[in-house]
Amino acid sequence: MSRRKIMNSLVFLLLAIFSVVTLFPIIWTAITSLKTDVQMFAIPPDLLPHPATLSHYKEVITGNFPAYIRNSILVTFFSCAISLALGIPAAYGFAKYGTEKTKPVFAAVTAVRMVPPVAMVIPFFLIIRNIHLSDTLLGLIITYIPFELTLIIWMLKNFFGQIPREVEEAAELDGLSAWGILLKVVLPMSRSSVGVAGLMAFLFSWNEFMFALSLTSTKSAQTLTVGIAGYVTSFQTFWGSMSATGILFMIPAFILTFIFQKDLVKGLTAGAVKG
Amino acid sequence: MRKKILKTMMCAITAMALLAGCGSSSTENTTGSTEETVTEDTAGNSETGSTENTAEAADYTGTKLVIGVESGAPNIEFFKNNVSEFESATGITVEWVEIPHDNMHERFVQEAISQSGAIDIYDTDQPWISEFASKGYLEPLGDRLSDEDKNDFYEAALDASSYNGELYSVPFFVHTPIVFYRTDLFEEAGITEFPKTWEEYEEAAKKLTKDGVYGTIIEAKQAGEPVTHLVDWFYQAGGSIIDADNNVTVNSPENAEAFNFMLKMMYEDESVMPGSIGYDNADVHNMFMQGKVAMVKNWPYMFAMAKDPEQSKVSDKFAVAIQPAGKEQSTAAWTWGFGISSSSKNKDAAWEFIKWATSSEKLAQLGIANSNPVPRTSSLEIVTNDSSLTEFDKESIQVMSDALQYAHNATENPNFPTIQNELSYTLSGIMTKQVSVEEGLAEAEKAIKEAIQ
Amino acid sequence: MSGKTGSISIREKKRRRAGYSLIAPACLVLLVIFFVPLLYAFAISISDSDAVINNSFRFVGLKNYFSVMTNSKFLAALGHTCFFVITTITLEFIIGFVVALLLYREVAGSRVFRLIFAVPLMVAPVVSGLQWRWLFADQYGIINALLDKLGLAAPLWFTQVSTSWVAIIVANLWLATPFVILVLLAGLGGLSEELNEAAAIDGANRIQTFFHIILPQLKPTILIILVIRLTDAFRIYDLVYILTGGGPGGGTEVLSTFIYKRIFSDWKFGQGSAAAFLVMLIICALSFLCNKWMSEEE
Repeated sequence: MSRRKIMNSLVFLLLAIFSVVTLFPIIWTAITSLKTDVQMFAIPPDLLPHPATLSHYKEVITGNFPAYIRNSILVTFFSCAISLALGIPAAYGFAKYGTEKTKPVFAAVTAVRMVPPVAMVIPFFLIIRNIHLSDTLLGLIITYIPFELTLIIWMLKNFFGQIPREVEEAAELDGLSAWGILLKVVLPMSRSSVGVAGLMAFLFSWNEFMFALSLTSTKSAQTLTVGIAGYVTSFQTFWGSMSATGILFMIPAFILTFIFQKDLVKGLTAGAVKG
Repeated sequence: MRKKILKTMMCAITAMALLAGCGSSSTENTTGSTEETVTEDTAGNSETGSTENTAEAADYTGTKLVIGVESGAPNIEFFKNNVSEFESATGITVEWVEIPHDNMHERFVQEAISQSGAIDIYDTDQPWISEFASKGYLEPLGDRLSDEDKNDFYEAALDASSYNGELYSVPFFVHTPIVFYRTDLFEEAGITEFPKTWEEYEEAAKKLTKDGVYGTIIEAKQAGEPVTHLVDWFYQAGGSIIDADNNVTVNSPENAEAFNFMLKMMYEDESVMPGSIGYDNADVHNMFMQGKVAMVKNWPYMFAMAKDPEQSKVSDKFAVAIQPAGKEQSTAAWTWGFGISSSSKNKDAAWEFIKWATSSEKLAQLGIANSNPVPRTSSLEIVTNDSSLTEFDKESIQVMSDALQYAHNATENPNFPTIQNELSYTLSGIMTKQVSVEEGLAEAEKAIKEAIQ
Repeated sequence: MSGKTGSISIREKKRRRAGYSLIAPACLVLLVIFFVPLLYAFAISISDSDAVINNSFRFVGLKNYFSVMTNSKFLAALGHTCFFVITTITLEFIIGFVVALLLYREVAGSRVFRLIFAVPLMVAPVVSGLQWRWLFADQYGIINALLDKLGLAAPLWFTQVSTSWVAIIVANLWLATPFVILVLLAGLGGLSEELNEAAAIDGANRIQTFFHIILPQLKPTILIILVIRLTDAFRIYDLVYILTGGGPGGGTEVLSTFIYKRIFSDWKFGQGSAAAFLVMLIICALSFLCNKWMSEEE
């Protein structure tokens, strides 16, 4: 018993150390966001802001930040929802109804993630411009779908593949169709995996920069990453405002992960794909 | 097993080819429609152009101008803050497309090749002027700018905004790097006059290096901005990048001398901040404002920051000077200006904006607001007579303007961004001693020749 | 195909149709949204740059591909990228496994820890690049200040190729390892507990259990992580661009920064696209080999 306790404390200690390392850059960003301009560049750096100032936050919130975050949220929400709606059935189809004919299709699907996006910027820019969707949220949503979709299909195909055949056979005997099995049997038992895949898709579009930059022009569609990059100018980098935006930027993602975390833990402890 | 790999690969490739086959018809459609729209656009454009030209006083009410600018730049902030004045006078509405500086070139390339006229006016960083003009993406402006205005602008400013003798952008900002130095440290070290030559500069840097403060900084981050300073070093050594006959002249004894001098200061004198090799202008102003370096070469923008006690620890202890001369007294001139996209559908309205933004009065106001050098003689007069500026401001602005007498256009070649990119490898490679001066320059010359052939 | 119909049972036919109905919508969407631009990019890669500049396609065959393959900067970038991919993925797996196994123990506060380890995922690469440049700054950066306090000689991170790589890899580990941890954890959650218990009863020690029981079961999870991380690491862009710009002296130039410069500063659209397709082929081949290797071991 006591050995177990010692082990647990050791594990706790190790995890605590890793946590500090993980959180440190963010804490430092938070500290920077509270410093005045002259203090920010102190040599050697001051550990704590004195006096602490909220001026960077004030400046950010009264600027374009509300518009940027609205755009980020809308683009992320819709692109994720559509990608999940399309990706879950496809992953299930590839995993359980795959034939020799679907194999190359799957290979082609995964190829999407293997093209360096830098080379896709110009084609996307020209096409989105030609269908008059440049500087619109829809244009960004459309662009993000392939990237999220392949990620979802890829991750979930693997997870669905682990589900024992007996589960489906039993459901089939009950008279359920393929779609029925997916919706009524498979999905409820794969919540955590779907969650992880969904989270990855969410993070892709939340954090995406290159396409957001070239497909938007004004604050009617520009997202937060573009807004943040704007703090680096040819004259100076506005570290204070940038750090403040960086901290605010994390909040929605953090809340979402927090909510989702409970679900993830539940899914994990219930033995997500135990069958 | 190998067969199996091959087989599956073949399958994948065939599938992709099939998919590609299905897709091709739709691509053709898209490209087809591009061409159509482009031709329609140009046709529509010339029509409206001619009607507007014949009209006595054009009415622009309801016209929307889209201007692509650098986000967060102080000079653009000035125009944004004042644009309502222009809008109410002309009935034109202005929309700003703000792009981070690092990505402006990439975005403008995309806008230009789309030829959609979605952006009417480009905020042009000088190296892009020749590049875009040579490909026909910028509208010539020489005929539109009056002779009176042409005489009023500094020659260096208009020259730097031209390509093959034709003007493609009207500068609202022209600058060349100057030296910012610490008056208190100069006094302590007993240096009474600011160095006029490289040798004096080197001596001063050595003397000023003490107590954790370094004499100077030589930027060498692998990026575009440090290369602009390298060009100054080349010019001062009597070297060049491309000569008047368009020959690449990077690998010259003069340029080698410039590098050897920089290396000497860095590694022998040790009067250069050791981190310099990884710095660009932002690090330079931070170090100077924190009091860690006695002299730095930087752009005039830094003046307003350095004299602001909110940002600077040396706000009352510095002055500016013209860069010391090597064999020659010379630097490169750089402008920011407004150019009209050749695919714009509102060229006349765009010109109205440029006339307003680059008027003598507006440029003087911009100079006063940001303590910047101004590109027009008449604006400089207004600035020097302005009562809101201190004597120190006026003297400094005078120095920044005087520095332009020695400044030349470095970016006449339309491939300058490529050249700049190549030289960024050379600069960083030589200064970090990864390659020797001879190797570095020879490689650069070869690469640049290949790239611009 | 119709000739064969007879040999396939009605049930099988139904199954296939069901499978296609599941797969088709996603594939159609991908076809329209992605493969059209991809084809466009391919067309650019086999034309000269006029395809983009003047919208007039001129077929040049594989010329762009050959000039890229013989370009010393491309080969250097390829070498750098391979070095980066191998280093970062190895470290990601080591750290990822340690943390995931620690978390799997369900000690006090493990929910909080899980949340903490997910935090870097929420930071965009662009933001994180800027953040790390700030942390690694040589005078006002906190990392060097802390090293100084510990009495260690703090390097000037961005003045040498080797230390520039350290900065890039540390920043990338911070950004990417949480993904590895999270997916490993999900994989561990799916393990059969009976097996672990059986192993414990058999008296196998922890290390044996890990290598002989846990690891083989995690194979599909490891594969998915490996392939996803491989493709992402191969295409690294933002971090390198912001931290070093490919320097010093081109020492940290990677494939994506090479392609970016070809396209956007040199107007060599054809070569840039050709390089991108070469990269795609390399990644395809590598992930294919991973797949093969993983399934063979079974």
